[in-house]
Amino acid sequence: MLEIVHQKPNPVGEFTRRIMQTRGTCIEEVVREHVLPLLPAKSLCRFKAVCRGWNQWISSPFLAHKQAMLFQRISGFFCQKPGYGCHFIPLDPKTHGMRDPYLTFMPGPVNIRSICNGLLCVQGVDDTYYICNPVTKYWKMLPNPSFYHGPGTVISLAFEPSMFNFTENFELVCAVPVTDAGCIVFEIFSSRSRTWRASDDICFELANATFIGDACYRDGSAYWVVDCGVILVFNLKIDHYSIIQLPDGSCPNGIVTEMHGELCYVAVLREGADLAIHIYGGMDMNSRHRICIPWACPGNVLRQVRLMGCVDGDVLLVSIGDAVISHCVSTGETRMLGVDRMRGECTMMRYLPYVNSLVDVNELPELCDNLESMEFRP
Amino acid sequence: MRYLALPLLSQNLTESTARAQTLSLYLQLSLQVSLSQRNESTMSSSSSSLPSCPKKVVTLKSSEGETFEIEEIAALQSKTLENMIDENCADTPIPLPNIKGKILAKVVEYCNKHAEVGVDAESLRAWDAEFVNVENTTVFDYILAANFLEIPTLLDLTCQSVADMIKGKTPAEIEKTFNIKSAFTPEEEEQVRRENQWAFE
Repeated sequence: MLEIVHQKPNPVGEFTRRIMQTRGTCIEEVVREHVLPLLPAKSLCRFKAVCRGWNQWISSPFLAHKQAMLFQRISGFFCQKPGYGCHFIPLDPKTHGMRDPYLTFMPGPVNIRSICNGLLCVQGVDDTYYICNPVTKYWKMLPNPSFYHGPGTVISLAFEPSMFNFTENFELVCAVPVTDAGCIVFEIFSSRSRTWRASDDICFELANATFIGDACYRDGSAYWVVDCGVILVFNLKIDHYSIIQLPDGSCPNGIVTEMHGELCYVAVLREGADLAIHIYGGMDMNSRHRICIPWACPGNVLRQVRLMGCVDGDVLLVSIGDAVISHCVSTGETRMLGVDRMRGECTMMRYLPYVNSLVDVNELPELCDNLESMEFRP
Repeated sequence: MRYLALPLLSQNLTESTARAQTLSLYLQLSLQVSLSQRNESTMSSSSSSLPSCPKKVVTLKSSEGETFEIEEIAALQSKTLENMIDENCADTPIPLPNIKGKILAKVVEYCNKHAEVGVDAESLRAWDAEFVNVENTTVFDYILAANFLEIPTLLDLTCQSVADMIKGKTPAEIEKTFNIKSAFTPEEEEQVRRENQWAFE
């Protein structure tokens, strides 16, 4: 009979050891370990000049991975006018700037298609997809999909930095309308398998509908607004699509975003002479808030209004004309953030929220077999 | 409420005996009811005639020898203290030579506040914001204490507040704040600045 003897742990000894270990701990050590990963990429790059130790630590892939995980606050918006280059609006220029806001490090002019947690998915003039991080200037090319992704295609980049998985993996979900067959096919690229695959779940209900705006990716699912008054959802975990009905009377030109910890639909309407922002939340899309913006100026202001997105779960950013305004939903505080000089008369400006993350595209496995990915070193 | 099986009253009993039996049964029933009610009220810790269990308290000793008492339930927020409590080593005062009395008092206050029940998230957030609205040196002491005692919520709160405070600073200001010696040669520093030029604009 085997007798198992448990060694009683000695907590007092452990405790004393801990005292000795941490006795010499100075604030700089704890700051390096726990505070630096909470900072946006621009601040971190600046702090490389503090000392040799910080320079080494900030340049290491360990910190990049930790920062990608812990810093997930929106730093600003990439703006894209159809047919033009993109530019970047930082929320706080000193701490959230962009190294190369026009993405000139890419091999040619590109359109930004989707942004998720610091990674950008862009498309070149020949319709090739690329993944890049504008902070580190690394990019990788994706192999071509099997379906033809026509102009009505919408995509959603799904990237969540994982604590346990050191290599950064992502998926690209494309909702591809196939007009001849009258359906929408979901084609998905996985960086893990380096291949495209088409989901078995095909959507026939929204055959002739048009997508509005850009995707919102949250918690394993991609959300797209459709002009017939619904939100199309594709759940990557179960490989199925579903449809969320938008409330009657809601304007179909809204955006899907995350607010106060839940999925929300935000739309802007004319109410008499004023503007009203309606916020619906949760899976049932119940009315959550109604914000009235008195508008004294004449003219068709609705055409000038663009909902940009929600920052920090509570602050709504709206662009009216070329003014960028923030409105804190819980306190009601409204501030004018600045002027988007590039906007001009454009009513079709797209705003994509971006997180200033150090996520290392280089950690991704080689995606394309036949072409070497070029790594541009600044 | 416990269910009492009522014995069948035999029809042979005389009326008075039957009545006596019913009465004694009724008395038993009411006694059971009042006991169970009292038990319930003790468990919900409202006023009762039975003495409530004494709350376990842990004593902490600061670096200057000052002692502070903290309820066990509040102390469990510290992983270090939790280990000691689990192994029954928290019956004597626990010496914390790394933490000054002034800081330890505030850390105890933090743990007590976060162990309270029924506090709504909004007011707790406001209380937390006030807690870290102090001088830098004090916040740094909080960080060191939270790191040593392994209190994740306090560490997160204080680190986030320091992150917000330093994110706009220049490297020179950082060196001054944390007492760091640069040790770069002028050429090295110049190179780092050049490579990250965009971050200095």
